[in-house]
Amino acid sequence: MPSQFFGLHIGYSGLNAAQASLNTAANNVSNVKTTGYSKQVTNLSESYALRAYAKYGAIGTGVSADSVTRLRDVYYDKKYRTNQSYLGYYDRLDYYMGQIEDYFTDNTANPGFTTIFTKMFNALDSVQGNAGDTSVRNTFISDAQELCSYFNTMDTQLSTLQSTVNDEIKSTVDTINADAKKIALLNKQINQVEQQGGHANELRDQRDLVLDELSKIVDIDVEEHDIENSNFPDMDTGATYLSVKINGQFLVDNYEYNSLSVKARDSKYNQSDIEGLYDVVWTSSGNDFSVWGDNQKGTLKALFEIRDGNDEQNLRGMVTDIGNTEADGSGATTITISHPNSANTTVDGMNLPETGIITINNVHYEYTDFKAQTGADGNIVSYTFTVPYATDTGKMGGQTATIGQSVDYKGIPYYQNQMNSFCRAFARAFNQIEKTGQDLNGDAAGSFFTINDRSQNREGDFSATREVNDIDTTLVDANYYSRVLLTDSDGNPVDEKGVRVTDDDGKLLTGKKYTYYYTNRVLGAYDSTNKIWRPTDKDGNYITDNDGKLLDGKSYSYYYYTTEDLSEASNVINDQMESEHALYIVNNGKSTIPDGYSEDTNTKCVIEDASNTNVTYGFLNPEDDNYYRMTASNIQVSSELQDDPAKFAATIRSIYNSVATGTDQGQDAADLISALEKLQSDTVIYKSGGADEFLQRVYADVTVDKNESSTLTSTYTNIKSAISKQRQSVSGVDEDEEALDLVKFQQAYNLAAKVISVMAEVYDQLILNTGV
Amino acid sequence: MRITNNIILQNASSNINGNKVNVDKSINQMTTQQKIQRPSEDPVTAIRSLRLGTELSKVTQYYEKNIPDALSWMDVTDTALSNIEDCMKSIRTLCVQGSTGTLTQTDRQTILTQLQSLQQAVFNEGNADYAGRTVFTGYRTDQDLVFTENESNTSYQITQDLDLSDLDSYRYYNHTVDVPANKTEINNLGTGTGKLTEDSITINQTDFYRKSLNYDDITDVASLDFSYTDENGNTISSKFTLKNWVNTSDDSSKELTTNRYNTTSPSKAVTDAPDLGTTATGTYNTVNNGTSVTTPSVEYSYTYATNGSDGNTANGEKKISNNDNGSSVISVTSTDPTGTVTQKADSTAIPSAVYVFDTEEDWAGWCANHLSATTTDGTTSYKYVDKAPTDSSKVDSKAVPDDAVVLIKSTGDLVFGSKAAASVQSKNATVSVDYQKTGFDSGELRPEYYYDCQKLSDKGTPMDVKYARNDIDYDIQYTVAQDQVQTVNLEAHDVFDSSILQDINDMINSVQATIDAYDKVEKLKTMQEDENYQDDTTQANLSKWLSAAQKEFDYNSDNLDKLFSSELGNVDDYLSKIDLAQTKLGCMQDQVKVTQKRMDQQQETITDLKNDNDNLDLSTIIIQYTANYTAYQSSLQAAGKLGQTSLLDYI
Repeated sequence: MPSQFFGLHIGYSGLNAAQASLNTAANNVSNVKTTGYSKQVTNLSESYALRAYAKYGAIGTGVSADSVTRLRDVYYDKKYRTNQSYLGYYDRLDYYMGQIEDYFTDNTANPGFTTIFTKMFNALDSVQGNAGDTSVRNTFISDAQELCSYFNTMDTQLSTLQSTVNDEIKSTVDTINADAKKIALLNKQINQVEQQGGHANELRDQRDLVLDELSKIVDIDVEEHDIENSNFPDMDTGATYLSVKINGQFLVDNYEYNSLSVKARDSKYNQSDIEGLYDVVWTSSGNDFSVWGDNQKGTLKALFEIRDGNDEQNLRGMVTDIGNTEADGSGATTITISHPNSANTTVDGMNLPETGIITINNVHYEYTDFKAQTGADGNIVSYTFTVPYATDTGKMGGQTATIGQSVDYKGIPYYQNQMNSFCRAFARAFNQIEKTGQDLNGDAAGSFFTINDRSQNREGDFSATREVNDIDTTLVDANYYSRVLLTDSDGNPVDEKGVRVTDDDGKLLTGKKYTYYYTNRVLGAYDSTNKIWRPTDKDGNYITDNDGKLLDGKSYSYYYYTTEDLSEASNVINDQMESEHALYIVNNGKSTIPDGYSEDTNTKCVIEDASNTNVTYGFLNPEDDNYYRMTASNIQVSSELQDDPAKFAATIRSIYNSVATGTDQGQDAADLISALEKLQSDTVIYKSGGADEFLQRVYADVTVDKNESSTLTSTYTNIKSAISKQRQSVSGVDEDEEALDLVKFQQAYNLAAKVISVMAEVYDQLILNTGV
Repeated sequence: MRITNNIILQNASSNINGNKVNVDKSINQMTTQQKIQRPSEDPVTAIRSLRLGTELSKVTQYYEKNIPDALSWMDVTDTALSNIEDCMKSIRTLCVQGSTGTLTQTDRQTILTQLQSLQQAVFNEGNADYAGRTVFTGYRTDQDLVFTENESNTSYQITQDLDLSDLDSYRYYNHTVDVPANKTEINNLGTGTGKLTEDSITINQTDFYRKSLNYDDITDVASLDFSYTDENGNTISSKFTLKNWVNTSDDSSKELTTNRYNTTSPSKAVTDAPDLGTTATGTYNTVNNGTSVTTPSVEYSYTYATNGSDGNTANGEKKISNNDNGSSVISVTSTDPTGTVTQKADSTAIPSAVYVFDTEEDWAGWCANHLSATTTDGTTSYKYVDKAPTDSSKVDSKAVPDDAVVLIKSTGDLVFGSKAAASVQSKNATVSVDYQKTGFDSGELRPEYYYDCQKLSDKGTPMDVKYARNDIDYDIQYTVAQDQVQTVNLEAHDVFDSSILQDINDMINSVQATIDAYDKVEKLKTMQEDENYQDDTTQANLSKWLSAAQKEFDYNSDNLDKLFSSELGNVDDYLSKIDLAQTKLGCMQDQVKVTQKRMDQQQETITDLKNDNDNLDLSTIIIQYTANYTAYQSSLQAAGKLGQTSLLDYI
């Protein structure tokens, strides 16, 4: 039989429970609009029954308000956060692709490429009919300069955007650090509360909110588990452990966190990159923080893709040769890579910086300069890099070398590269035509489009050197080559060992009719004093002509002879090697390799018999005045032309020639213009299309990516709102429900109070009115 | 699923936002009337818009700039052509009038004045310009076609090709009558020192074929290259080159001013080329102060190319050296590619000698000293002699040796001897004359539009600029449509021949001569009446003077008649050339106008296409906007109901 006052206690417990429930409802109602707030419930349970030792057994002892907990489903949190990383990723991409798209957009309000380009060719049309009029010429020249300015501006805008993105990467990294710090702190606070048996609902809400935020930036793995006391595995310590991992690395390890930091790059990855782009590293270890994992998303990755995306058009190739710059093995290592990826087989497509990073076997090396070599078809077949501090060279052979970084996204570097390619191809085609002409004064015309080459402090007009592709096939005088003829004292041709050579039939060759000349292989050496290439013999000594004068600009080695009479022009070696050092060799059918010499396989020289093939070797030195140096940022109309429109060539040199030999046709001769006009759309300039299709190609890229990002942004936004609803459905506060709760718990409270009141009456009855 | 108020609110708000996005898009479309605001909204439309924009911009350039420019250019040309045609028609009328033979002195005066002004007018039209660009001068639009002022120091080295297949017959007179001023002069006829012979007032007319260089008053002649194509298709040529200029201007003797271009030896080289390996020698007679001097040898050379029977080609040049004494020496180059060396060029095909004179007077003087004439069957034959004959074969008229050519620098006439004329005409020969002219008059054509030439500096050395005709068309072309260029200009040589000037000059000179002769007759008639001259001797002599003057007038009048009627043919040729030019221009204009029409349509079509592509139909936008706006309104309305009541309202 329980105590007479037991009922009062039960009533009291009801009162307490109702009170607690009411408070929880009040808290819910107050937080109905609070972000991240999860609906809380007061968990009630029956109190332990009391054994009454009565016939009816145990009796209930009332209610107990055990705890106040959140309504939360971690499954939805996980789903939500995964989605957040996608949303964050596409949302950022969408934002920046929108900017890039805006820059390229061409409409009446903002004239873009197509408008300016068409205008320029319309002006050229007018020149056709009125070539002598300087004002008409001027209109054309200023329209052409407008096109250059368009590219200059576009490049600046993209560079500025790259810088903006770079800054945002830094601030994003700061956010990650701040979040990591907050989470670690909250972990500690939560444990402090919960180890004492409570539920840190508010702190958990806060932590979930931070995790939500963080998941938008990077993909995170959140893991939470209870901490066991290993001595008493069944004991509930109340403590929990929470870790946040990015790419398998701990960002937060319960109370500890690893911060990230940004490090400005020493060298560029792409030719048009701005200086000081950030890489992200783990502060403690200094290791790279990689955002490039396949499943990685989040705003940070989006920022990197926009900033560094080059559509994997950076140079890659196979290491085929490793050597030393000095014969004794000291000095820097030269690494030659061949089979470059298709984007880098022409000068137009090259986007590697002059100095940068070459990565072989996952090791980054800095290269201090490079040279490109061209093959028979004029395309680049290999690159040679000078790497001052190379290690592990033994393992490099046959490995893939990557210059810069391959990023499979069409970001800022991609579009800059597209503009560079276009500028180079178009300027080259235009200049090639212009250079065949002569200006109003009767002088041979120079390049129309030049480079405002700030880094070399010069205007690059391609006059000092010629591009590999520009090399023409003018035949040279046979006598020129007979100077490098090796002969014995009787004037008969001999090989390097001084042994007289024979023709195919074994007959000894006599006299100068048979001429030796050097072909490929050693290719000469760079004379750094005079800054030119000189041919060398096999020992690397410069070759002189018969007068003892050093030969220049030529590269020869390996004997090779022909039995053809070199006085016949068609059999003559065909040379054009200015400082880009191309050597043309007519390899006529009767030539053979002398005894003791063999075809050189290292340089992949193909010596074909009986084919009369021209074997071309070209060298491109990035420091020289060539189209590699032309980018969208520095293309301009030659400053001479801007000052004097008369210097624009409208007519072909061979007809409208000057000084004594030629004839004067008059100022309106305009035969060159129609060739130039073909460059508008007829000549293939860019991506197998005419120059006027440039923007259309860019549109194709930019709109596809922009569409994808905006579609996916809205998709993930929808998913977000769906998950959010599901989450809300569990954790959200519903006003009606709370109102109902209020009513419910008020009633409960009232009833509990009534119980007390009843009990009071019972005591009253018992004490005052019973038996006394 | 448990739905909370917040979920409902969130749903409503995102739905409202969706509707707002649509309304925003509609409003953007409505205000810009553009289908898309940015390319990514519809890449296909955006790219098509770029294409159409380029097309439209091009077509607009063609239609609104290039074509009107081209048409204006041609309009200017058209006007100039009509003016030139009018002038030529007037000249034609004058020709008809002049050739009727019944002209009064007043008629002749009128004709003279008209011819002079028409001559001026024709060539002024040649300088017609479109917006400061001369239309007939090819690419040299910044330069005039004809000299606009006298440029006495301007000098050109000119190479002019003349077709000799059709030579004009032209009359030459050895004298004009100088009307005597007083009795002494009248009676100074007779024999004796200082007396004029009757011969000297006798006007002799000779008739020769001639071809005019298109300039008169030429300064120097460097070479004449005669050539023709023989029946085997080979080109036979013989070139007369001046080796040394003879400067004898300080010599009083007129005949020494003659530059002799040939003598017997070089012609022998042509007619009698030696076999390979033999040496030809010859003598060369040079005239020195009227005395014949024989120099021991003469330089002449010829090159030959021959295909022997074995098919091999032999080339060579034979030169016989000369101890050059500074006199004028010519070398003849004979090219005979026909076969064997022994097959010689036909000597009659090409003149054997060329004589160059400064003026017609020089020529006349030389004729008297170095020609002899024989007349058989009414045909007079002339030949060169070293010393003037004293018998009846002496020549008292302007004449040319039968197989020679005379070139008069002051008139630019090439006068052909009878055999030379017959030969060049029958062989359809051409001659290329390389000469120098210093000093041009206003109205003369600039040579660069017609001939290969080179401008010379004050010192006579060639300047940088060389002009070559080379059959290059200096077409000024406007792009009037995609890949379609239209030539808009006619060049001077399309419109008029450079010989017009010389022809009109001939006519003017002839009229002037006739007028002068008539005046002389009139004057002498007056003198007959004069009381001072009534004595018999004077009267008798006066009537001799009068008959000479009358003869001069008759000759001139007859010549005028003949010249004008022959010029009539020339003028008709010129007119038909202008006609042709007008037709050509008309065709060009038509082509451009057709293109213009096409461009007009294309501009319209492309504009339509572009509008269709870029712009939205206003009604479509409004309907869409209304729909979107209604959706927005109703979503607002629905949202407005939300949260108005909750359970609390009922508690």
